[in-house]
Amino acid sequence: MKLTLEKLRKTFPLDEGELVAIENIDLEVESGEFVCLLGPSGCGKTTVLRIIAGLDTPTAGSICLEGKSISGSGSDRGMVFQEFALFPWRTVRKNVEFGMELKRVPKEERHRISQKYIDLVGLDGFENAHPYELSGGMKQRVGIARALANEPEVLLMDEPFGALDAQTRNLMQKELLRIWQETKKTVIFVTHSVDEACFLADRIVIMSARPSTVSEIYEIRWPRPRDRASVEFANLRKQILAKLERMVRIEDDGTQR
Amino acid sequence: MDKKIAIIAVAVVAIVVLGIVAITFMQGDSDEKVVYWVAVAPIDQKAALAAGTIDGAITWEPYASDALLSGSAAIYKWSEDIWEDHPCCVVAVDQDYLAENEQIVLRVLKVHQVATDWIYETIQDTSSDNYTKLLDLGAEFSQRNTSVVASSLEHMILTYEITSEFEDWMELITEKYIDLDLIENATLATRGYDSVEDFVDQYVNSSYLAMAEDIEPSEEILNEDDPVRIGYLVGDLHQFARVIAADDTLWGGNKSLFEIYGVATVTSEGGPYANGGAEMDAFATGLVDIGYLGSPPAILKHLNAGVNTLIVGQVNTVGSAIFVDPEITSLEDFYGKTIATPGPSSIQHLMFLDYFTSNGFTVKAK
Amino acid sequence: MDVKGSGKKKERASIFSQWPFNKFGNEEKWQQLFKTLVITIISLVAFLITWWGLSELADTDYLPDPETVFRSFIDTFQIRDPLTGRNMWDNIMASLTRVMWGFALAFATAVPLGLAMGFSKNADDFSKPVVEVFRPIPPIAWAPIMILALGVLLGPIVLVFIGVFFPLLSNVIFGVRSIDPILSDAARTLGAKRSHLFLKVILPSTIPYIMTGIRIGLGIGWMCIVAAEFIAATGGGVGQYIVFKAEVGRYDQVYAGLVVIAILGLLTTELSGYIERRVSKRMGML
Repeated sequence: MKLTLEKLRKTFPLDEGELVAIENIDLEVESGEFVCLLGPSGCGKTTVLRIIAGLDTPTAGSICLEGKSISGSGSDRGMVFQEFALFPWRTVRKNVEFGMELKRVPKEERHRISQKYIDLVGLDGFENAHPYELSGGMKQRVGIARALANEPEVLLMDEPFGALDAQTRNLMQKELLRIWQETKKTVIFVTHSVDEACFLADRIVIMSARPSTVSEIYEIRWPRPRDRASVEFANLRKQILAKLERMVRIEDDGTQR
Repeated sequence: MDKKIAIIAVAVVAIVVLGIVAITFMQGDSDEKVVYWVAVAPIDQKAALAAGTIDGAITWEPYASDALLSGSAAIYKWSEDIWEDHPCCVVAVDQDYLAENEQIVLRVLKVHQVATDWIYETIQDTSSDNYTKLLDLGAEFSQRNTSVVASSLEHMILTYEITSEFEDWMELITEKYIDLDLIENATLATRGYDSVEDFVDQYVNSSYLAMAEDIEPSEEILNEDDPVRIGYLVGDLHQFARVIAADDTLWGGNKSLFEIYGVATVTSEGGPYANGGAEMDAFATGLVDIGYLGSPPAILKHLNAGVNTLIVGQVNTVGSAIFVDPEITSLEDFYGKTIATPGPSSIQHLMFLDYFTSNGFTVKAK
Repeated sequence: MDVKGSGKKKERASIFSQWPFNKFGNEEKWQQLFKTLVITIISLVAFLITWWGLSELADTDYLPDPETVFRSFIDTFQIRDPLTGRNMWDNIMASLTRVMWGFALAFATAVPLGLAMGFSKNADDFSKPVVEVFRPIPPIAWAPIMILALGVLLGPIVLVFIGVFFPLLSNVIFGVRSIDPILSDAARTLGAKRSHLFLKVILPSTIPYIMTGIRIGLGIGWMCIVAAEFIAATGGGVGQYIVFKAEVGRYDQVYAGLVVIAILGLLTTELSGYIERRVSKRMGML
């Protein structure tokens, strides 16, 4: 499903005047596309994601899903959080079934679907474990399964692997691609890792520092799995890093003035 | 899993609540011949009867007369009709104080004698000015009106003599406490007494009263810097002698009777006390030198708690009563009823226990 | 904005992931336990010796030695008291029944009110002024007036109710407010409405806090019931037992009553503490 952001603007009131967090963001995401939002920290990419999820409201502008304007949160947009955000009192299965419980899906149906996604993320055998018994990577697998089990149109991922160690992170990236290819979901993925964005995305949307806006969009047409050691991978990474570095420097100069 | 916890929680709460309900409501007694007691301070008993929380009370004067004259209660029995000529309040002295201040103790006892005799003479002529004065002082002290005081004076006998009957009563009371297991048998030996008789012989000493007879008034105050600390009970008219002795309008020269006999006095710290048990605790803490109180607490706390006192004089005999809801007229009417007593260490409580158990009742605490 | 909170949450996440790996190996754990046990015993023995010494020194009936008190303690359970016709079990049951009634009342009111006050700002604004006026009053200060106004049956129960109500209420409100906002966010992205949030997120995550409130409240409840029974009680009670025994001068039995209260208080808080830990663990919140 096609997701459209139009003239998105978000401000926060200050003691005097206001802080413009996001200024005029326009973006179209195609159905089944994997888009990474990349930018320096504090640039508002998470805010954009939260607005899409309906957890924050934009000050101006609109979000359309397949041409229809949407507001507020809903099960058509699933979200995966950096902090996992699992319900600690629920088992893996109960976490995955949460959304279906709200929709009053019958028990057998719920069980069948949750099993499918638990299997998909590779957690079979851990159905009855509690979150505190799981490692970080496993927790995030639950987070992904929980979001997917609700069968959303769009999967929003807010630095989902940010709290994991490097090895787990690489593994989870590969797993995510596998899951994405199997489920054909539209994914919007927020990260501050250039490497991660290059490895995952169909398109990388570079966002500038505050006030945040779309600075540049890179399209990557390489097949997957991508080779991190390849020359073009290294070149693209270098190019984007340089761009980000310039942005940070401009921001620093700006604050000194 | 959430559900399981919820179910268990609800089940536990339900069981606890059911259990509590069962315990609360299944305590009904089928035994007919039961009378219940509850401890209520005499000053609150009349109100408790009016509120319906008790059906009667056993109490001392002026509270018995007060309840009677209020019209809301009837006297079921005066105490002289339960235990004829029974003793009640006594003068007790701290033994350490006695050892060092025998002169002062004798003088206080002399004042007690003079004041008691004065009251005895005064009530012979109810038309005299002194009688009016006496009623006024009693009313002021007890916070009751003069007709209540007059009625109280008719129902109690103020006396100071330690007679052999008194000593027999002390033995009887002690034996009853031992029977009731409120004093353990071994306790007498622990305190160094061979028997109940030996205990009363030593604990009740009439020789100070005899020595006090010869004391003369004194111009000079003997204990100017160290007034004797006297303990007594709240509004208890049994202890009327102390009240008039402390008054400085009756004896001439703006002096109290204590001052006339050369003694400076002060109300002991924490006093006046609600009951004799509290006064014995004050004795034990060293707050009281000489005290007016009921003989049972003086016995109980001397034996049980080793409070180092000595009984040196009587204060009154009789002067208590059981007052009841006017609908109660016979023993049968007491079935299942609740009677207030001033507390388990009072002579009224002992009399209540004795009266109802000897009439075949089972006495239970409410 | 969003970056600010995440550092703290990361820390928590790492504590969570560490949990199943116990700090001690099995053998070390037993050694630790043994050491604790030995120190506890030494402490108790030292206490008893101090008590013994003090009672020998003081040589008064107001401080009997431990042996006398222990004997009286055993006797109170076996021998019916001549004054009241009750043994200690009857008194314990009487006190316990009152505590449980007061507790049940407090539980039935404080938990819903606390949930409402934590969840809805309107409910909080409405209830807070009254609650804040009554909260600082020590429950025992109500004792005389409650017993006069409500009688010897209901008065002590209401006193326990007051004692349990406020700690429970505070804990429930605190529990609702300490919910990680990210859990509500997650629930909302899964399609949760306000009523869903309340039933599926706030209620379950408040349970451990409710348990903490219960533990603290029961401790205070015991103090209240004894104070209430001091002033007036029918139907027995450990507090009443102590008052009567003090009046007739049986101080060894007074101390036995104190020991009973200590044991009951300890049992109540330990038991509710144990349940609290079990529930917290079961709910995955430590």
